[in-house]
Amino acid sequence: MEHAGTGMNRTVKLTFTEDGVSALAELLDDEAPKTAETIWGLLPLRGKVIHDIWSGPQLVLHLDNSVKLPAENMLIYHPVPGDLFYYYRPPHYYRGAPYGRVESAEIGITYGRDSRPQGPRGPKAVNLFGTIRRADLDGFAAAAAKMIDEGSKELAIEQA
Amino acid sequence: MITMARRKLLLNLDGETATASLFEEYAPKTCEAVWNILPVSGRSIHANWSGREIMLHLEGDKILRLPQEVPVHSNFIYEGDIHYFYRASSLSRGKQLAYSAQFQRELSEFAIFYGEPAGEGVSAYDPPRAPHLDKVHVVCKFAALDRPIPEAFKMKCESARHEGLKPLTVSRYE
Repeated sequence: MEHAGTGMNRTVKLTFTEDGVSALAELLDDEAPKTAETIWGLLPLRGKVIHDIWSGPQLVLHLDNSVKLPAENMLIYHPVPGDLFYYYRPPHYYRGAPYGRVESAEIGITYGRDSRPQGPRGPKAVNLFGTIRRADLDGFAAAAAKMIDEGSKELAIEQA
Repeated sequence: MITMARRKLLLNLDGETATASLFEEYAPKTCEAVWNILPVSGRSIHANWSGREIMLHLEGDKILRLPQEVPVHSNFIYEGDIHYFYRASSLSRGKQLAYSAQFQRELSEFAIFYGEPAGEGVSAYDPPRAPHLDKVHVVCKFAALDRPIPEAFKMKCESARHEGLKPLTVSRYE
């Protein structure tokens, strides 16, 4: 991968456009080189981020389903606040209509403790590819938590 | 043979309605307690742990603090189920920080599983933070939405995820 092994992680900026709240995140270029490179190449991204309904304090930003990546730097049970991950679910993966049958490529953002990436049938394995800087996390998490009351928000992700 | 008419609930979620039937044979004490506080109104909140579920928090003199009436593990969840849920104050670290101050202290609510897949046990067991101790963490299935569940009602429930809190009233349907 182009950037892996340089010892310097690339940085992305996540912004709730309506609230004006931003956070910087480091890509894990060495640990997840393919995923980080692919996400970097997709930027800038802008779309509606929704609150997860199975995983606790976690957000979901849907990608085009053509973004299919192999397993890399996988995480299942214990994300920490600020983790950014990629997840892909092929069609008909879960039992249960209609949601489990729908193909989906996603970026997940964990913003609080006690999250666990999971769907209706249990834990999901995800590609951990980035982490939000600690100094920016509290403000970002507060804006994310407001989505439970206020609904989905627009999120922009760009190269920093 | 004389049969009692099953008592029913009317749920009005931001103008969309559905009815539900109480499980009085299964959980008579819980049903009676719920019936006696109706009508109840509030802002419903979408679940973020247990899938297609909205919750109505009970406030003030509507708060119910009921014992566990049926075995916890019999509360397996299906689409349409309505549960009474209670969690004592200070039991859960952090989880309710997004809620109002009251709900960070004590949680008494109706959990309405409006769509498939429903929680399938996930919410009932809530493994990170849910020790099942009597009078501390209580869950009891007490009703189910009548079928077919109106699609408009289900869509309104789902919209809470995208648009935020929605007004919900649960009343007696007589």
